[in-house]
Amino acid sequence: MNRKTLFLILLILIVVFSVFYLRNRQERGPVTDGFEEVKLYFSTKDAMYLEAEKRKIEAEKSNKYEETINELIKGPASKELNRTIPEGVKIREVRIEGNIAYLDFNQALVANHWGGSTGEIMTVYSIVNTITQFPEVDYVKILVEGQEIETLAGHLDTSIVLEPDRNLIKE
Amino acid sequence: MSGYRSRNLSYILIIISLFLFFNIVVKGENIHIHINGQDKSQELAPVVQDNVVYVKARELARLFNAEINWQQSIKTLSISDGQVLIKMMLGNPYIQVNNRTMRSKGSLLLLYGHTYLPIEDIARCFGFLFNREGNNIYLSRPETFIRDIRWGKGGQAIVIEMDNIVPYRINNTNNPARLELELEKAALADDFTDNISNKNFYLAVTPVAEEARLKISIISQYPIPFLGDRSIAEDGENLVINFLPYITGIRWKKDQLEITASGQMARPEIMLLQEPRRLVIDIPDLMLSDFELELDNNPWIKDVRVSQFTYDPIVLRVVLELYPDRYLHLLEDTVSSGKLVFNTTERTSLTDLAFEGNGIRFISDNKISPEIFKLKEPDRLVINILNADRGEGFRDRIDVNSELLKSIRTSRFNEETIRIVADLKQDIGYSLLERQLSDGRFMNIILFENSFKELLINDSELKTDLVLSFTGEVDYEIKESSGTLVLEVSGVKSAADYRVPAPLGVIKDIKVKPSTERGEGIRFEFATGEYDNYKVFSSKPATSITLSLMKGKIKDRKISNLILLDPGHGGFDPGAVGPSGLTEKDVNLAVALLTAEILQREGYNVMLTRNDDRFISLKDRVEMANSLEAMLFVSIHSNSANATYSEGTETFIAPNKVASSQLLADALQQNLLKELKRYDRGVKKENFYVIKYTDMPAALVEVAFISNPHEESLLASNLFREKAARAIAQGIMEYMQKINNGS
Repeated sequence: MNRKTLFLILLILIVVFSVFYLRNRQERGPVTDGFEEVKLYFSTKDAMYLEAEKRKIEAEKSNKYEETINELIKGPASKELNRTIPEGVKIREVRIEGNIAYLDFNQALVANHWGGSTGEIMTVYSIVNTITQFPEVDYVKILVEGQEIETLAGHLDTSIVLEPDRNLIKE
Repeated sequence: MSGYRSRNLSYILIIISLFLFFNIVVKGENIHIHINGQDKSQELAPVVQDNVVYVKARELARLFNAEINWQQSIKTLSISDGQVLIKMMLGNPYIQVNNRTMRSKGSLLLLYGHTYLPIEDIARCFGFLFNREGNNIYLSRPETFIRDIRWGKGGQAIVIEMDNIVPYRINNTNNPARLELELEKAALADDFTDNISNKNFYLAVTPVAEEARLKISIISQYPIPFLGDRSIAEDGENLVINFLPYITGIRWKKDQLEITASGQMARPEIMLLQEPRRLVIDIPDLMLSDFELELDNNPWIKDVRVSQFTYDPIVLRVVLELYPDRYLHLLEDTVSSGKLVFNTTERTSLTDLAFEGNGIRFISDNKISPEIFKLKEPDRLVINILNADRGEGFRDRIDVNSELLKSIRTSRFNEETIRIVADLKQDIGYSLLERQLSDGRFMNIILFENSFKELLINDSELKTDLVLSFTGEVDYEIKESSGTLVLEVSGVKSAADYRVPAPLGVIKDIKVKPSTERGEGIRFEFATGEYDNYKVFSSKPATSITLSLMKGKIKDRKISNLILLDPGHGGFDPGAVGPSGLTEKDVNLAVALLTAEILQREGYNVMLTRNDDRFISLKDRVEMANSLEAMLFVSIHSNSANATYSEGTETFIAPNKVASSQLLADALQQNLLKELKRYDRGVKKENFYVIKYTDMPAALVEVAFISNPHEESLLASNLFREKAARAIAQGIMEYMQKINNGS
């Protein structure tokens, strides 16, 4: 065997092992400490933008979407941000069909909402932008008590599936 | 060269002579001078002489943005900010201010090679407020002058008239007889008049030196009927403090007790207490004041006590001490009339309860005024007779089992009240009849029968609604023939004549007659114009029947170049609600109506999706716009967010209609900013229902934030609403002109 071939075989072995190692690490990575870091979008003080706040959720729980929404409901830790979900709101069910997440909330989402175009945009897109951070989700459909709603607070059309609005995000 | 030298020489000479003259110049190191809240003592280097404070002339001029000029030949300093020109001569106490001359407490000084000015007089001449507290001097320039404080709305409000509104707040004084209002950067005008003080009220105005605030106190011998921050409103450039109504009288009139107030009273809470027997009447949001008391020698009320029971919430308590066995009860329907009227009820014995024909009858010793109401599930009629006892033949229970009634039960509801409950088989109307018997007693009859209450007609662009209501459940049938719609109602008592409104919309004529087709009933005949179809919005049987005659062929009646304005929310949907309770739906409607008025005056064709306080779904709003083929659609809203600091104006268009709507939105936003001067949040694209599904150019304006306390108070004022309407109308007109020129 000449030195050139030996070198080639060695190189191939290194490449193969490192690919396996990296793939393994990627799969296991978030689970190692039992937590996954997610972005939660809350309203800026002037309600002009949504700003991400990072928070760890328990990744091993079967439904990370529900956990993420529950964290969103809790509101921001930063005093510079405002909550976007009214008091008393609970998530009833999260269902993923294809690339659409169906999020079913209780009546409080509508009944306790503070209204206003801006108020409604902040609430809806804090939900939509937060859930679409997961690459497998492209669209969100908001349901209340299992039903489709025409609108949440009288402005946005919530009878359709919603895409994230990146223009609202303040980096 | 020689000129400079001689000038220097003369300075030195002057300084020396000044030192010789006034050798009591004190360095004012501990004097602090605050201009608009900032300590400027360092620059101004104050000195004190004869208790007058002087500061460096050049530094003062710089801080006042004034130009300074020294004329050596006449030893005169002139200082001017472009509006005020002051001239002072060295050592001369007279100073010239524009065209007048005044004597100053100090004069121009030369010290350590600098010119010094007496700060008090100079500051006042430049329009500053001067306040001195010990070693602290506060200078501030007011942004508004108060011209007048007077009574408004017939003594129901205090009006503070000023140049323009500055930030204000109501102080919490813990003394209900003292109202304290603080205005920032405000001062009394020279011609200020106090039109408040009278024998009950005293006005005091004191400046709060530190922060250039003006404190307005109104002190009364009685609690002042205002509701803190909730009672203050802006009216143009005036502040208005609205008062709650106060009690004006308690009078005995023809066997009735009347409580009157200076305004509308809310429904009181009433309790009967014993030992001594007394009726306690708690009236919310009513204030104590001097009131007329006329009890004559009535045999019901021994004594009256009135007190302001609580201030938070505000409740006035009237305690009527009654003679034994006496009782008064509130006539419910007088509550809305602005006074509370109580009827007398003597202790009465109830006898001979029976069911006869279609009614319950019983005999009472005295005239009674029972309280009668219906309850649901199961259907019951409840009759409360106050101050009564059960006598002979007034049994606990009568089983009736008639077509209408199952049974009648009686009980002592409480110490004062006997209650009769009629268990009904269906929801049915009733009437109370009363007849005096020859022995002076009264026969009371509660007759069960349905009667026709009223017919209402509403007409809108889409349909004509007929709403018929009855005292109880009725059965009905509808027959449609060419030009006539017939409604046969059965199970209702016919009458000799019926009151019906004038025909409206699709309805051209109304005839009402007794009917015998299916038992006793009423036949309504509506002569109709052209309509598409009718819809019934009631179950069978029903206490109210709603018929909608849908108008067809709207397109034939299409209005050219129609502007459709859409006041957001309405009816049970208030939209956003401001911190002091202002509802978005009311603001939107008011602004839309004003906008329509302006556009109509300018000759445009305008319609609104709603003219009054009613709920219309987003889908219906869109349908209206599309079926009318409006030329443009503008939805009018007030904004809200979960943050009281959010503020400003923004306009939305739908992302699918940018090309057609951008021009309209820009014109609206620019005009709103120009007129209202609120923060510019821009023109944004959002998937809003009404602007997305309408077929024409469409925009949704958010005038200002109702969730922001300041903007809420603006949205509550008529002036601001008018400005908003003017801006929206102007924006629409500019857009129309551009479109017409372009095409």
